[in-house]
Order: sequence, then structure tokens, then C-alpha cells
Amino acid sequence: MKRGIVFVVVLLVGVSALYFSQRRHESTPVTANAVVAIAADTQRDLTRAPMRLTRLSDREEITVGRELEQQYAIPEDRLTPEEHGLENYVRKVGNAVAANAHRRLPYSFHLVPDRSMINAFSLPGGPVFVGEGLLDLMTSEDQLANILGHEIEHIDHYHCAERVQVEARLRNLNLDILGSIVQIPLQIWEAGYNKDEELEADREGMRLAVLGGYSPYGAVSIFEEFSKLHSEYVIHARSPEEELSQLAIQSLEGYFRSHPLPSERLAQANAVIAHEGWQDRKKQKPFRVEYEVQNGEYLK
Amino acid sequence: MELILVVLALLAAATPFATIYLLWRQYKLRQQLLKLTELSMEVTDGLRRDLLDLKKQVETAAATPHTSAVPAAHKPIETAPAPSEAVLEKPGPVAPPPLARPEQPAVEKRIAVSQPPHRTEEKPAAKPIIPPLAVAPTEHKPSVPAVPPVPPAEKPAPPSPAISTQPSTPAPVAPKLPGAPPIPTSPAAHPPVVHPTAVRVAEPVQVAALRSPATSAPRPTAASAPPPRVTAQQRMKSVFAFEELLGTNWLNKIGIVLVVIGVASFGIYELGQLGAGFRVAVSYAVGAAFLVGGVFLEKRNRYRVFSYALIGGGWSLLFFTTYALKHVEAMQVMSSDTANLILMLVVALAMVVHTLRYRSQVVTGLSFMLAYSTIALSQDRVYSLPAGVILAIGLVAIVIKMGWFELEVFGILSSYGNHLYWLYRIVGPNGAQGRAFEEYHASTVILLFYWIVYRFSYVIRKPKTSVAEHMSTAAAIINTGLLLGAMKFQSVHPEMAFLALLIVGAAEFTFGQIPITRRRREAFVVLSVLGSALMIAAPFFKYSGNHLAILWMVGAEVFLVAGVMFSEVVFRRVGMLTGLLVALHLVFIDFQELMVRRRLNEDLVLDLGVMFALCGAVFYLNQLFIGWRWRQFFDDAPDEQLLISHSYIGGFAAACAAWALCSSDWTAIAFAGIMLALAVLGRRLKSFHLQVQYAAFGLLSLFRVAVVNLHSDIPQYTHVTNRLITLPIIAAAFYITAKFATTDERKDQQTLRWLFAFCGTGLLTALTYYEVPELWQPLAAIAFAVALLEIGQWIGYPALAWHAHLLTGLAIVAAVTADPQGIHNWHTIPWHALGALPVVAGAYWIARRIRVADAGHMNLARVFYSWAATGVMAWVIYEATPEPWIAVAWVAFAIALALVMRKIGYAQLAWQANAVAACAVVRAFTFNMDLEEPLWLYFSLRLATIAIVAAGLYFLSRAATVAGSESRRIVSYLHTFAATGLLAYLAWREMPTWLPAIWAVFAFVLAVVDRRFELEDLRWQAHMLSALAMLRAIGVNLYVLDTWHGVSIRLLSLSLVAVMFYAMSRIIRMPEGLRQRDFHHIYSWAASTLVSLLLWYELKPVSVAVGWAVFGLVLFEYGLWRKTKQFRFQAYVALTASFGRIFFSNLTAGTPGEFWGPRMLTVLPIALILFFVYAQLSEPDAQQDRAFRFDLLLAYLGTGTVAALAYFQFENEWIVTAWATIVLVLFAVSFVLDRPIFLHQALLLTVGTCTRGIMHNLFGASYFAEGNWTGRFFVLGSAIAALLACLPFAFRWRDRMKSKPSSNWIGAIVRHPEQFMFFSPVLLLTLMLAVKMRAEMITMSWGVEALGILIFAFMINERSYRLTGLVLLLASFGKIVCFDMWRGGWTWRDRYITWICVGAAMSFAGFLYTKYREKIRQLL
Repeated sequence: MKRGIVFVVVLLVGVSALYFSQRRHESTPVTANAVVAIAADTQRDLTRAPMRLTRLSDREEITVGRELEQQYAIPEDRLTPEEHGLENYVRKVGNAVAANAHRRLPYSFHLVPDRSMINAFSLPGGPVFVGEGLLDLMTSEDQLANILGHEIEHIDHYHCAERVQVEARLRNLNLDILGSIVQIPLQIWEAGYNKDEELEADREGMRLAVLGGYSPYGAVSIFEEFSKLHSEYVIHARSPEEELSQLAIQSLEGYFRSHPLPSERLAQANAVIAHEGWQDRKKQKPFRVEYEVQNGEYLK
Repeated sequence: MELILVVLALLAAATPFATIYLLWRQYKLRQQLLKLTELSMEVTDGLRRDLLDLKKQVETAAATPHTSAVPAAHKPIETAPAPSEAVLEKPGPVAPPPLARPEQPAVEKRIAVSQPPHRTEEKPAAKPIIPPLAVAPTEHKPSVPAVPPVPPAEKPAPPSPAISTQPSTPAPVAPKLPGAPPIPTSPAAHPPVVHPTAVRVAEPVQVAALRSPATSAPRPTAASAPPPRVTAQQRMKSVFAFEELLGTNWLNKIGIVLVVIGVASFGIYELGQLGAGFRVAVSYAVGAAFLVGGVFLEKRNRYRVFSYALIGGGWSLLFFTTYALKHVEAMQVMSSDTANLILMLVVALAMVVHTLRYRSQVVTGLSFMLAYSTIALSQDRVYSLPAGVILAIGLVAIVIKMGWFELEVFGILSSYGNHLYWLYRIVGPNGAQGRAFEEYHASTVILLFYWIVYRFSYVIRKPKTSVAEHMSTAAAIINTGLLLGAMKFQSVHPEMAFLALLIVGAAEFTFGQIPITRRRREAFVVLSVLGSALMIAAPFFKYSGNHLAILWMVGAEVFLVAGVMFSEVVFRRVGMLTGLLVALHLVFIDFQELMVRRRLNEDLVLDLGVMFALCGAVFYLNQLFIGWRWRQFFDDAPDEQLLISHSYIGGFAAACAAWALCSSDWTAIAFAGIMLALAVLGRRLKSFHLQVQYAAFGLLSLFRVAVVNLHSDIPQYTHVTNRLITLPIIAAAFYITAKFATTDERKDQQTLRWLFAFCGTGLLTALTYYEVPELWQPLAAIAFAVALLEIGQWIGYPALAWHAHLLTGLAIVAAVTADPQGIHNWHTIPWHALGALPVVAGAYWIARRIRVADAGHMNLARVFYSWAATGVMAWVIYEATPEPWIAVAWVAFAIALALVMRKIGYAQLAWQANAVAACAVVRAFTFNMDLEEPLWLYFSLRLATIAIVAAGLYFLSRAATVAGSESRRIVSYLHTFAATGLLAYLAWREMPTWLPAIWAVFAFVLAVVDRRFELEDLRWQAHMLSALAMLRAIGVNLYVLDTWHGVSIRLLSLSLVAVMFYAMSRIIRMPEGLRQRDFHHIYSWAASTLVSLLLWYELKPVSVAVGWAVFGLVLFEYGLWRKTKQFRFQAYVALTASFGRIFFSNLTAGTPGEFWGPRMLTVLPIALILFFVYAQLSEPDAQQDRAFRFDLLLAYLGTGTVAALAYFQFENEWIVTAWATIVLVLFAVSFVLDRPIFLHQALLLTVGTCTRGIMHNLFGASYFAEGNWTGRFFVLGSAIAALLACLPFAFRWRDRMKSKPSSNWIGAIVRHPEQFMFFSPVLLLTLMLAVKMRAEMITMSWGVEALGILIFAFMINERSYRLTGLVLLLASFGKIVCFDMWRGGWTWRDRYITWICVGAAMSFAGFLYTKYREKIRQLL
């Protein structure tokens, strides 16, 4: 009898949970994020110790970064005056933000003149690249400062350097040989980092932006933009077979792109603001690019 | 830096030797202990023998008249019956009375002690009455060692109970009344009779020795008892001995070494305001203090080891300071080399004399080793080398005086090591390499002096044990090796190496031949071999090419002949080993040259050919003549093997000679000739090794034929003269060799013969292949096969039948592959098909004619040939029949074969018919199913042909079987299944949408019919159709979105299939055995699977896991209620799937920052359901489930769910703390509920916690977050605290599980959770300190941790904890030495202060271990 009562209670709890989950309006996507997060977390933890013990020196990192920068950077003479102005704007904000980084590296900032590129990435040793598509999303300079702070912190916290080490090990590259590093494709740098590192870059990037005189709410507003984009583009599986196929794809891709969800990044940004007491720094500067063209020639 | 490097290198080099030395000392002590034990056993045996003699004498005396042998004084006791015998049988106390009471007369003493405590248990006298007093007078056995008479003065009779009860001695005599039964005496009455000392000494031996097999109960004796087993306590003690050795011995020594080197470095490198005199004074003061302190402490036994280290360190420091007076610039206060040399000699002499007082190698060795090390720190001029020479002389004097030969090894290493380091600083790391330097001659003289001193020491010594001799041997070899190494390193004239090696080798060889050396066999062998090796190696540095080989050859022969002449095995072996050297030269030098020259052309290579021929002759002569003439020298290993190796070398040389002297096609002829000659010789000598060699020559010949003689580069069917000439000759050689190839009738010998004959056949076949045209080759091959078969049967060598088999196979292959394009035809039939007919005929002929002794072989051959004929015929049909009707024709052919089989009764034809029918089925499925052309009315060509094939199959299911055959049922099944399969496939082509439902219904109908008529075939076909229906439902209909009258076809078809399956699970007919094993529940499993799939498709993603869990819960309860385990098993699967599902939906559900969101609200109920079901498994009805460990599975899934929830619910940094808290909860739950499963989970999760803590929180933490208090210590500290909080539960678990045995290491961990729960957090804590502390504080924090661990260990009496503290302390020391000292920014002052401080700390630790040694022992 007692067992029966307990069974009924447990059954009711289960059925209630079922009812609750069925009644919930928010749809929960079926993703491999949990497994991927565990795997990526484990992989990162397993590689972090050897990476720490065999870390590149700053000089080596800068050398590698410069070599990659020469490969990816667009020469100034191939930029339009508008793009040139945008790049200068990015450079100005980036230098203000990078002034307070932990490591004194030769940070440099470049524009990728591609409106379809809603992304930014950084290279070891200091180079930072921002896609023009991402700049199109921005409405304030503070957003740009937070994004650049995020990318600078990827460099500052050795995320880029460790990626170089991992890729060199996987591809059996000898970093001492000039030119070997160019075998690492661009997609590796655009792919981003794992969840921990992204969140760390978000936190520390906000700190850099604030120290550079910008509002942390720039991060909040840009993450809200990302969240909108994510909800528009994310695919919700409608059947188990779609779930399985989506899981397979995510398991393969997601392992290498285990970005945190925008909602998580947004939540962390709000938590950091509350923790640091930055609630009064809401005012943001407008996104204003200054340039002048006369007779097709860039003047200012 | 360099000096520290050198010191450490010396330490590192000396440590292995010191370890080996200590192990050797331990071994030696153990050996001494064993010897003492053996001695004790011998004494015991002697005592036993004496006592047996005594017994014999007693028995002899008993056989003689008492009156004649017994003195009058003994007469009153002579009549004692049983008690007297008991005295003999329990004679343990016989001896003691004289010891205890010397004032008593011997007679009374024996009477008094002849009453053992258990005398009443002995049988009454069954033997003649033996008066013990008459036969064992004490003065007759004075030689019994174990019972020495103790003088009264040494054993004054105390007022002991033995004396006080002396008046009771008449009581044991009382039983002397004849016929009186033994009176049981109370134990209290007897102990006073036995003197304690006497019992301790003599009782065990006497009881064992005087026991009478006829009258005494079996009792283990000392000789027959097995050796005592080593108990765990003894093992612990032995381990503790190592700890004690480390704590009380090594810590002291390491500490003193560090302090001495530190003080010496202080003198050399102190760059402050201190003058040379002050440094000298400090150094002398410290040395003197060590010396005085050591001498003072040496008087106390407890601190003797400690004092030895102090004395050694003190003397070394004094010697170094004396040396530094002149030779260390920073301490130089003396200008005269001579005075300093005299002072050093005085100090060295004093050191030798004083340290020898203690007769301790530790003192002497330590002082010398440290003296060498400190001198090495500052040795920079050639004039400072005499210090090493003085030390060497002193050391050799001690070695010869004391026989401490192992010490000399250290001396040799130190002398040469110091010298090499000095050279290294002068000439650089790569040596002189021909560059002259100023000190070369002085260096050479000193090196030679070292060598002569140590060689002199080796030659004149007289080792007393084999171990000492071995140690001396090591020293001798090291001496020469280091001399040569040093000479090479400082080599200025490399061209003199030949002369140097020759001279040193000759000297060593001469040393080995002098009489004093020849008396020591090992020394003779060592020096002779050393000298010979050097002399043999010497030519290598001057000569090359043929000269070197010839020189070595001559040397080898000289040594070999000398060894034979003088009967000296060393010389013989040196000679034979030198022969191997010659072989290496032949292989790697001469043979390479021959290959190079052969690559250029095929000309005659006379010089190499002659040399190879000469070497081959000499080596064969060694083996065949010397080995035969003086065979007594070569009967044992390794001489026999060495001589045999000469034979193989000779073979190799002969082959090379043949290659060099014969070219192109004639090389193979030469190889075949050598093969034939060796075969004849091998048969005569019955030599296995010659057989191996001529077999190798045969292979060489074949290889050469394949490469050269076949001339495969010339187009086929072209006549080549050389091929026509050489191949038959070589084939003939192989056939003749086959005749001589056997030495006896063993099977392997026959195989060898067969192989040679086969090679002959192969050569002729190859000749045929190259010479006969393609379309005629099948005929030629089958004709050759028939001829070989007939010849083999004619000459009585049936093995040739195997050749016929292979040739027949070749004929078939040739027939099938000839003219593949079908160019040549006769009407519509290709010629190659017709050409196959002779093969068929030949195969049938051989099948009829073959006669071999082995019936199995013959039957198998017939089967093979008949199958081959049938196969070729089927191939002919395939070639000639139109495509749509091939399957029909094959079925017809199969029917014909079946009918013929029924007529002639040859069963193989039935199998051939089945095989052909199988081909027809395959053809129908793969070809005829696609035929869409109409044939007649509504009948298509596909329907007609498949119908005919199906009909034929049904006919064959009855006709193509052998009556009474075991396979008849299987064949029938195959045919009917094939027919049913054809029909099912046709249905698929007609109605694909409803196919699973049709198949399920069809299967249900078949099952019903089978249940009614018991047709077994239909039952199995029903199973198969059901399986197909299931697959079709899951693979196709699950994804159908169409509707039928508004209802989903998926729902309808899946429901119908599920219902059919549930019904099938009840009605399907099965053998009772299968039904009892629940095979019919396959259908219920399938139905449940379908239900689960429907849940997956119908519910929201986040609800699926909950739905499966609820479904599993319902299934489980239903299975428990109906006592149907299969439903419970299905529930377990559903619950497991639910657990897996949460990783893909539930764990990432919800909004960030939301605590009570869908993640918690859906995952927690699942965990609750899992634990609830786990709890239900304790019911009696679920016993079988427990046998399958489902309870463990569910418990692990439940805990895993909670752990995974914690992983995703908390911040990454805090996961480790959450898991540690779960570990604590698991420990508490496991202890309260007494369920070890939760203990296991706690241990596993502890591993995960530690791994997570190390990998993520330590090494995965941010590079710049150390300043954060949570990032540094709090998070991991809380996890460590939680883990350590489990220790109380762990200790209670250990107590609870004491009685449970463990069979493996996992069991051991579970039985001792307190170890695991201690070491895990300690590891975490240690690594946390290493990673999170500042670099300068790591060592100190480890020391504090080690101290805390040691205190904790002493508090709770845990030895492993104490060892951990000790190891951590040693790790601190190792870290300083290996890492801290080499870091940049450290000054010399930092270094030597660290050395001194750490040394003092180590010494203090050793002091503490020494002081509390007894207390630690008590803990054992």
C-alpha cells in the first residue's frame, strides 16, 4: 500500500512535469550543445595544461601574428575611401580600448570590407579584424568598443596563442620555419572559441571598454542584436529525424564552434554590470565615422 | 653554474652506484642472516641426531638386562612402568634438570623433570620398560650443543617455583606402581618442575627428536615444517625498513652532503667583504665542528649513523680546505706547491687512519666522495691534479687493506671523472680532436698513473668471496674503459690509436697471464678477454678491406688453434668470436663491394671470389674438421653454437664465391651444384645444419632462375637456347637432390624431399608456360598432370599426385582465361568453351584413376575433380544459352543432376545440383526481376521465368536431397524459403505503401496456420516477415505524412503493426525452451519500441525525456505487478533512453539565470523516477533484475543525472564544489542506508572532481585571475574541504568492510576509502599550491603541507599519510635541486644558502626520524 502511494506520487510528479513542459510556450531546440559543451570543455581542459607548460613567448606570438596579418589584411590602396574611414574609426576605438590590456602587444585593427561578414576575429600577437557586416549592425561606438575589447581579450588571454599551438600540433607545423603558419586556414580564426573562452573574453572585454571610457551597455545592446539574429536564423527541428540530422551536423560543427548562446552572453553582461556597479554608465556615443572625399580622393 | 652542474652530475652519477651499493649491502646482510639461519638449522639437526642416538642407546639399553647396566643407585626406579616410557616420549624436560638444579643427583633430576604437563595424555606403556636413568647419563653426551651445561655460578638457583616444588618430585614417580593407570596431574602441579631456561633452550628440539612414530601423534618437526609464510605485518615491517632507512640514514647523508658543498661554494664564490683567511677559517671551523660533533655523537649508539655522516663530511671539508689553501684563488693563503702537497698528504693520511678506526665504508666513502666533489668545484690547473692522485693512492691503500672493493669503483669513477671534467674545461665539449694543448703530456702521465694504480690494485688483491671478485671485475673493466675514453677525449695523435690499443691490449693480456692472476680464474678471463679484444680491435684503426678480414681471420685461427692446443676455452671462444667478426666484415664490407661490382657488370670478380672461397673453405674446415677431431671441446653451449655459426658463415662465403666466379645463366647452375654437393654431404653426415644450408642454396638457385634464367623479358612462345639448356639441368639437379634430401623417414624430411621434387616440376611447368601456345596450354597442362599421376603410381612415389592436382588447377585456369574476348568461335559457341572439354575429360579421368594410400586424400581428390567438371560444364552453359533463360537452364541442369544422382547414388551430384540451383535463384533475383516485357496476355516474362524457377525449387526441395542425410531438412528449408522470398518480393513490387501492414498480417496468418497445422517452415517465415514489417515500418512508414480518410497513415500502419505484434507475442508457436527464455517477447519489445517512437514524434522536444521516463515507470510497475520481467527490462531501456535524452534537450533548456526553469523541473523528476525504480528493485520479485545489475545501472543513472544537472546548473568554476558536495552527500547516504553502491559512486565522482579541479580550475583558469579570491583558493579550497569532510564516513566504512575480502585492486580501494579520500584532496591541494602560489613560495608551502600531513598522520596513526608527508618533503628538496637552482635571477649566494638551509632541514628531519624511531615502530 505504501509502495503504491509512493508510486502514485512519483507518477504524478512525472505527469506534472510532462504537463508543465508541454504547456510551456518557449520552444526548446534539440541540440548537441550539452554534449558538445562537455566534450569541448574536456578537450580544452585537457589541452590547457600542456598549452600552459609549452606556451609561446610574446616574441614568437607576435611573429606568428604578423605573418598571418600579412596574409589576411587588405592593402589600403584596395579600400574605398568609405572603407578607409571605417578602418580608421575602428583603429581609433581599438587603440583606446587596447590601452588597458594586461599584455603590452602591438595591437592593430583592420576592416574586412565584406558586408556579409557579421563577425570579427583576432590573431595571435595583436591583429584584430572586424567585418563590415558587423559594423552595419552597430548603432553606437560603445558597441564597437565592447566588440573590440572582446577580440583584444582573445589575444590578451592567450586564446589565440593556444589555438596556434593546437593547430601547429595537429598539423605538425614547425613554427620556427617561416611560412609554415600560413597553412592554417582563415576559417580557424573566424570560428571562435569555446564557451568558457568566449564568456571570458566578453567579461574582460567589457572591462577594457569601461576602462577606455565606454559604456558597458554597448555589450548589452549588441548582444541583444545577436539574440534577435539568432532567433531569426536558428532552425527548430520539427520531427525526430530532423532532430537527428541537426544533431549530427551540430555535433560535427558545434564541437569547433561551441559559442555560448546570445542569451547566455546577454545574461552574463547584465550580471557583470550589476556586480561591478556600472549601472550608471548607460550613455552611449553614436556610431559616427568621419571622412571626406574630394574628387574621388580620400582626404580625412 | 658549471660547478653546480658538475657537482650535481657527480651526485647523479654516484646515486645509482650508491643505491646499488646499498642494495648489495642489504643483500649481503640478508645472506648473512640466511647463513645464520642455516647454521642454526645445522645445529638443530645435529642436536636432533644426537638425541636420536640417545634414543637408540636407550632402546638398546632397554633390550639388555637391567641389572647389568644400571647402577645400584638407579634400581628403585627401574620398575617404573609407564611413566618411564613417558619420560622417553616426552623428553623435553629431560635435559633441564641438570641445568636448573646442579646440586641434585642426576638420577633425581631426571625423575623430577620427566613428568611433562601432558603426560597423562600419553598411552600407558606398550613398550618394554625402559629405565631412563640407566641409559642417559649426562657425562655420556657432552657434545649436545643445544643443552650446554650451565655452571652454577652463572645460573644461581633463585628461589624459583621450580626449587620450591622440588619436594613434589615423588609425585611423578608414583605411577610406577605396576598396572596403575596414569594419574592426571593438574597443570598447576607441573610448571614448577620445568626450569624456564631449560625449556626455552631445549624443549622444541627434544620433542621433535625423541618423538616415536609408533606411539606418538604426528607432530610437525622443524625439518619437515614448511617455511613460515610472510605475514602482512612482516611485509609492512620490511617496507618500514625502507622508510626507516630513508628517514634515519639517507636524509642525514644528503643533508650533510648539501651542507659540505654549500660551505665549499661559500669559500669559492663568496664575493662580499670576507677575506681569504676568514673563508679558510670558516671552512676549517665547520669541518672541525662536523668532525668533533661526529666523534662525540658516535659514542651514542642511537646516533651512530648520524655521526658517521658528520665525520665523513668533516674530513672532506678539511681536505678541501687544505687543498684550497693553494689551489682556490679566493681562499689562497699559501704560495708553496710543495708545502701544500705535504699538507694534503698529511690530511689524507689522517683521514685514512681516522676513518679506518670505525671500519665503516660509509665514513670513508663519504669523506673521499665529498673530497673528490669539492676538489672538482675549483680544479682549474694541471698542478691541482695531484690532489686527485693523492686521493687515489689513499683510496687504493684502504681498498687493499680493508677489502672494500666496491669503494674502489667509486674511486675510479671519481678520479677519471674529475680528470675528464678538467679536460672538458681545457679542450671543450668535443674533445681535443687532434689539436695539441699544453697539458697533454702531463694529462697522459696522470691517466696512465691512474690506470696502473688501479690495475696494480686489481692484480694483487685476493678477494674472498665471489661478490668481491665480481666487484673487482667491474672495477677492472671500468678502469680500462675510462682510460680509453679519456685518451680518446684528449687525443692529439689519432693515428697512434692502433699502437695505443695494441700496447694496452698486450699489457692487459700479459697481466692476465702472470701466475698471480692465473690463480684467480675470473681475473684471468677478464684480463685475457680485455687484452684480446683490444688487440683485435687495434687493426681496425689502421687497416681496411681484404687485409682487415684476412688479419682477423688469421687472428681467429691462431686463437682457435691455441685454445685447442692448450685446452683453454677462453682462447677458443675468443677465436670463434673473432670468426664472427670476420663474418660481419664479409657481410657488411666485402659483400657490399661484390654487390656494387655486380651491379656494374657480370664479369668475373677474381679477387673477391678467391677471398670468399678461401674464407668458405676455412670456416667449413673449422666446423667439419676441427669440430669433428676435437669434438670434446665443442659439445656444450656456447661453443657448439659458435662452431655451427662458422658453418653458416662458410655457406655464406661459398655462395658469394659462386656469385663472384660464375656469371649470368651459370650462377644458378653453380648454386644448384653446391646444393647437390651439400645434399650428398648432409645425407652422409646426417647434418641438420647442412640441410638448412643446401635448402638455402636451392632457394638462391630458384631466385636466380626467376630473375635470370627464365628470360621473362623476351616475348612469350619465343625459343631461348640458354633457357632450354639450363632449366632442364637445374630441374634435374632438384629431382636428384630430392632423392638425397632425406636423412630418415620423418615427416619433415619427406616434406623437404617433396619440396625439392616440386621445384623440379615447377621449373618444367615454367618452361611449358614460356614455350607452348595459349590455346594448347590447357591440353598440355592436363596431359602433364595425367603423366605425372601415372609416373608417380608407377615408381611408387604417390606424392607426385599433388603435382597433378596443381597442374589440373592450372589447366582449368588456362581454359577459362584463354581467349577472353571470344574472338575464335565455332558458329555461336566460342572455341575456348570447346577447349575446356579436354580438361573436363582429364578431370574425370584422374577422378577415376587416382590411387593413393590415404583414403581421405583420394576421396577429396575425387570430389574436387567431379566438382571441377561440373563447374566447367555450368560455365559452358552460361556461355552458350540466351540471357533470360540462363536461370531456367541452370534449374533444368540441376534437376538433371539430381535425377542422375538418384540413379547412380553418388551424393556429390546432389550437392552440385543444389549449388547450380542456388545460382539460378541468384540469377532470378538479380536479372529476371527486372524483366518487364509481356510474354502472353497478362503474364510477363518476369512472372513466367520466376514461376518456372520457383516451381523447380519446390521440386528440388524434395528431389535434390539424399535419403537419410542430415542435411535433407536444411536443403528443403533453403528451397522453400527461396520460393517464399520470391513471392514476398513480388508483393513488394506491387503494393509498397501498405507493405508493413500486409507483411504483418501475412505473418500473423502464417503463424495462425502454423499453430493449426504445425508446419515449421511457415513459422520461421512468419518471423522473417514480421521482422521485415518492423523494418519497413521504422524505415519507411514512420516518415509517411499522407492521410487516409483524414487519418494519418503513419499512425494507422504503426498502430496496426504494434497490435499485430502484441497479438503475435501471445499466439506465436515456439519450442518450449525458447518460450521459457521469453523469445516470444521479441514482439512485445518491438511494440514498445513503436510506442516509444510515437512518443518521440508526438511530444515536444523538452517533454520527450519525461515522457519516456513516465512510460518506463508504467512499464516497470506493470512488469512488477504481472511478474513479467521483459516489461521491466523494457522499462529500463526507456529510462536509460530518457537519461540520454536530457543531454540533447533538457540540460540546455530554459533561460540563463533562471534557477527553477524547465531544466530543473524536467530533469529532477527524471532523477526521482530513476531513484524510485532503483528503490523498487529491492523487492523479491525483482531478484532476476538485480542479477543483471539493473539496480546498479539505475543508481548510476540517477546519480549521473544529478551530477549532469549540477554541471549545467552552476557556474563553471563552482562545478567542482558542487560535485564535491554530491560526494559528501553520497558518502552520508551510503553510510546511513548501508548501500556500497553509493560509496562506489562517491569514489568515482571523487575522481571526476579531482580531474575537474586539476584540469579546469587549476590549469584551465584564466591567466590573469589569480588576484581574485575565488579564483585563487576559495573555490578549490571548498571542494577540498568537502572531500576531506568525507573522511569520517570513509574511516567508518573501512571498519565496516574489514571482514569483507577483496580480490582485486578496485576491491582494495573500496575497502579502504579513507586512503582514496585522503590522497585525492591532498593531490588537489598540492597541485593548487604549485599553480596558484607565487614561485618563490611553492617549496615552502609544500613543506608546510608536508608538515601538516605528518602531524595529521601521527595523530591518527596512518602510515600511508606519514609516507605522503615524507615524500612531499623529499619532493620539496628535489624541486629545489632540479628547478629552483636553475632559475634565472638566482645568485650564487641564493644557491648556497639554499643548499645549506635545505641540507640542514634534511638533516633535522633525519634527526627527528632517528629520535622517534621507536615510536614509529610501535605503530606497526
